[in-house]
Amino acid sequence: MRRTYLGEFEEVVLLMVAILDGEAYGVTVSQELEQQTGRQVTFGTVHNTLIRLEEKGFVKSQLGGATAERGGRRKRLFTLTPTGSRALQEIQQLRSQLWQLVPPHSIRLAGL
Amino acid sequence: MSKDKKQIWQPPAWALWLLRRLHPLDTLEEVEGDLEELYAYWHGQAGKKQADFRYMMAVVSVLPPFVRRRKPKNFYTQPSFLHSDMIRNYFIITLRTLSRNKLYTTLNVAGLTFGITCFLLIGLYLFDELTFDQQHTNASRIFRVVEYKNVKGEQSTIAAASYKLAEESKKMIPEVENTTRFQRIGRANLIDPKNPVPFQETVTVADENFLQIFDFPLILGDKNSASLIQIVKLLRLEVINKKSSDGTFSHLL
Repeated sequence: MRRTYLGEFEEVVLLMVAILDGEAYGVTVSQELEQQTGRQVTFGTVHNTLIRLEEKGFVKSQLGGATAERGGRRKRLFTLTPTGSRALQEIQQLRSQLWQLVPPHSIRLAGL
Repeated sequence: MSKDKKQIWQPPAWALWLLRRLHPLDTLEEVEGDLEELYAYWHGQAGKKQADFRYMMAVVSVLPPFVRRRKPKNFYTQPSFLHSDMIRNYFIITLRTLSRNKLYTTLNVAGLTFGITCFLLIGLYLFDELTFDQQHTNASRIFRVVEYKNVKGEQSTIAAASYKLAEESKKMIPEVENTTRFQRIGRANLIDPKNPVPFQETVTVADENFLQIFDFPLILGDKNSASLIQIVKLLRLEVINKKSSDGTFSHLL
């Protein structure tokens, strides 16, 4: 399969789906995003990103979990696919590889 | 989240109406639910005014120009329409459709054949008419005289006119600049007296003005001094005296 590019925001949302572990849907992802990263994003951005991630095969979704809270409307719950978890692992691996290559003083200087 | 559970806050009705009207149907249920839940969350967090505002923004962000449509589940990649498999498929489909609708196939093929034939025939006719004898410089000023006869009510058309007509019209009608006469003898036996072996040649006889009006190339002789017995082979655009000596002409006429 052709390697699919994963954008920065997509990566964060994908991580949120991984964190929420089966409880990820529009509301929880936006709230988690706000609480963990301090980002306030419009709902449409999250919605579109989740759909795009599903198209790229990183998450899969199913309708379920109708509660009275939502007026009987079902949620679309997102879960990570193997492709998605591998993509996240690869990103982290690449990052840590690159971090090891950075000489200690260069980061300290840049941080000053 | 649980603190808002008891009281259900209602988002602005018009925003909800807008969402229901314009949001793609296949994701409406989940989005409507999500937004209602978020509205309650915002309401508890920052009050009604903020919640209304955020709800409105969220609704706008999931309306058609911005929202991404979920692709149908059975979506599969389409091969290019120029792919060899597709092209083979077109032929298979064509043959199947043609063999299934035999009556229409016959009608269509016959009709198309007839149409193309007509087109080609008309086209060829027009091409011939429009290009006929147009190679002469004076083509637009050259006219052929045809005779219409009415003898005792019997009408006839003859593609020839009398000798005097050419001679007199030049004098009587000022618009006529020049006239020429010619006659096609057809295949004739020619004999060179010095080498008496007869040979056949298609011959056309014309008068001295012929080469001044038409641009047929002259192989031998002078265009302006060409005499009455200058013989021009129209078909091959060749003057016959290339083949035989001058004496031949006097023998022929």
